Amino acid sequence: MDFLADLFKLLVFPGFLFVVNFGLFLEWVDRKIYARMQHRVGPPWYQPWLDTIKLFTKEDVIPEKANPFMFTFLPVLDLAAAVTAFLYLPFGGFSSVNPFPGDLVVVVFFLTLSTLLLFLIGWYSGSPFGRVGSLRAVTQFLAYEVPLVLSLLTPALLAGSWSISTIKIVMAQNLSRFLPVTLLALAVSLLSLQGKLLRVPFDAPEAETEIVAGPLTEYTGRRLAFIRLAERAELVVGAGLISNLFLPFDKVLGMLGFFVSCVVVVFGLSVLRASFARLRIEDTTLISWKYLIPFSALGMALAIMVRG
Amino acid sequence: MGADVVSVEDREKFPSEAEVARKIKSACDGMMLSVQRLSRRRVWIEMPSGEVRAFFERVKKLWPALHLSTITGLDSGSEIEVIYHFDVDNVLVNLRVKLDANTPKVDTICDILPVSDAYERELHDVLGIEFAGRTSTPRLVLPDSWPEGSYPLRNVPKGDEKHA
Amino acid sequence: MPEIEIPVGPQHPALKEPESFRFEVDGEIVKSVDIRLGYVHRGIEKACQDRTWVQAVYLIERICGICSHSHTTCFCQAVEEIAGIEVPRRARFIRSLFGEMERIHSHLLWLGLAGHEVGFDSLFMYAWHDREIILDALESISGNRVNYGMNTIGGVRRDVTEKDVDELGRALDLLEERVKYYTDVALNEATFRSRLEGVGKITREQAIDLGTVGPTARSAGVDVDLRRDDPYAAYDEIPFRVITADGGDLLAAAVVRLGEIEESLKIIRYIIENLPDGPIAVKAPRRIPAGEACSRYEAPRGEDIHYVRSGGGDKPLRVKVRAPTLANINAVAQSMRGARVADIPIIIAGIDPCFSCTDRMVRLDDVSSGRTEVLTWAQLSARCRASR
Repeated sequence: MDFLADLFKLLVFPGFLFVVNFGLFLEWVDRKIYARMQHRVGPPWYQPWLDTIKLFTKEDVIPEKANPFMFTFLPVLDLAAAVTAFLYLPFGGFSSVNPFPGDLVVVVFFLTLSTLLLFLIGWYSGSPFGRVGSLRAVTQFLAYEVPLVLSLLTPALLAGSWSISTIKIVMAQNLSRFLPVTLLALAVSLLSLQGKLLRVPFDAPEAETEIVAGPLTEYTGRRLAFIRLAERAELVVGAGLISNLFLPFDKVLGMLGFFVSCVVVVFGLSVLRASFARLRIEDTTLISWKYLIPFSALGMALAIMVRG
Repeated sequence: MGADVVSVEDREKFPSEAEVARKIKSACDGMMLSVQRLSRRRVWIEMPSGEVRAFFERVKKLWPALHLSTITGLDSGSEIEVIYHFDVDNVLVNLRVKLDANTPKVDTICDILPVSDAYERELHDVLGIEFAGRTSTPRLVLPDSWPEGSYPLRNVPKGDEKHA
Repeated sequence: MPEIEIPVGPQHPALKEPESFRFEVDGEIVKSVDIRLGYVHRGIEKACQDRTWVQAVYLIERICGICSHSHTTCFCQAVEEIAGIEVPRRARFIRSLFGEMERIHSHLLWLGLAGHEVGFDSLFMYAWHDREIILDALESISGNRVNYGMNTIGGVRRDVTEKDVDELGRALDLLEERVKYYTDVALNEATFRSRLEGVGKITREQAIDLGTVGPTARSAGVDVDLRRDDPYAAYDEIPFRVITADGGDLLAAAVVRLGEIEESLKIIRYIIENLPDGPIAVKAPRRIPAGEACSRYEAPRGEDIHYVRSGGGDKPLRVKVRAPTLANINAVAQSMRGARVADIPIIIAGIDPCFSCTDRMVRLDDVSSGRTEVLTWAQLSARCRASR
């Protein structure tokens, strides 16, 4: 029975099915907000599911120049890494599948892993667009990873723990005192997450008009669906992580609180997407070192001062 | 940024087409050049094909900002005409040279007016005009698989129309 | 890092029409570019020779979907000059009116595409949303959104009514306000501005040497505008400013185009206030006397030039079209050297390229026999009918 229960946890809730469906829901929220900001109607709520089903039914193509094993294996691994990361997040009153004192680091590690997988996906796809996109993805990774981790560590410093559930309890208890202190870190983490998820203005690695779709150029059908689902799952993990560390509403409102805080995070990301033009890759790096990293360090310093 | 409103008087300050034609004639003293006709802001001149380079060298010296609009080629049956359209002092000068229909050949002016590169390549594609002095004349508008020696804008010989 | 060849086109998301650019890049820097045209060469020049004068007008209208009025006006002017037809004053004003309305929708289209190329899709959606205002006005006057079918040899085919003038006036008020907003966005939105400033730069000397025309030349400080320099239609009676800038980069190109929209709005107001009465067309003969003419037109993208030769028959002997993009493409090749990969799409878009204008022959490859043949339109349509 234990085995079945574990399997249920992995595949249904809070594992694969839940993450993927919640990810597709957040995709709809993002697309709808983005569309409304552009005078457009936007898609109906079920559109992301239809898109995914369509991709699964499409013709399966492996380009001649691609490495067939890597071409198939990497998308699956990508999705697995993102879903596994979510298993370590407590949410909506549920504790995570395997809580332990250092799980924050594990979640960050899995998020990093999926970026590196994206690099390999582009590199092994045998397309010049893929290669340029991969190189950009790695360059960008070096730019936002430091501020992202620094800003995520700010609440950890306040709570004095590396465990997500402990941070969450401490933050929820002292929300009125700690939230103002962490606002700076929250802003930096939102911007870095935007970079992590390769969204405008940090979408140079997938810049449509320049390099078609970057690492994903050669992908179609099922494999593309896997990568897309992995991206949605990363959105869930990113939004979930920020809501756990900065906006622990679910301590009060339960599951609804988790949904609300995730939607708030996605709303922030959509506004960013609608209001900027794409930055060149060198500008992204520059902005990271000139603004994001100093501000995230400042956020940490604030946290240290408040904690005393 | 931005010039003032254009008044009618400004427009009358432009040199007239007769003036431009006179200037060209005096610059090209000694060449077999004939001004065929003048119309509103247009000058039509004709000359033998051998003097095209010398003509543009002199005209370019006179008007360094000369703007070559395009080069037209046409097959008028007995010969192939090449017409250079260029703008000087807001007057469009049309220089016509006539080439032999069997071996149409004229000197390139690419080194004097680099802009002419694309126009010469187009004429080479569609009419098969040779531009002497060019190192190569790569295809511009026709695909690379287009058969050599087939020129779509050449007139088709009489009696052959239904295959054209 | 090894040099990578990046193919942009014939199919690529940055290109709205098929053309081929091959870039040798070293990291993020472009080393060289090889441009190949001709992917949308449709043989319109040749096809014109098999059509009557009036039919040719409608074919020429289809050279381009954006500057359709530019090409027909240019062609009609050449034919009218050969035949010695005096176009009525009212028709000349209506031609200018459409020319300016076309300029507005073309420049708004450019602004949207420029936004899209640099990943600023919100600007793209906004600009195209407001472009509908002018397209609706065009539709209510001419009955069509893009190929208006307004021109004919000897004048225009539809009159502008009092009601049209009222509606147009309201559209202008709305547009005026929107254009101010876009000018503000283009000049002040930091990320958008940073993607345009200093990108695709050419100097004034280069602009002249490379033979650039239209907004591309004007943004580099070359003061040319055929509406003033070689007036046609009603422009010899309309006061207007020629907008130039001296940056030579894409920001200057945006400034020039936005300034031109504003100027076009003023020209349209002047035209509808001073629209003369009278007939809108004179009857043109079916056979045009032998002769030749060369006509120029300031299209939204720059100098459009048509050469027409008549042999005295009911069909043209030769029609030659040189669209502005062919003159401006040299500027693209020039400013690509040393550019960043990220700037490739916006530099291409910077001249507002229109490749179907640039390319104009029907070509069929018989794959089974490896035979290539050129067909006339009659043969092609006969073949199509046969295979149905």
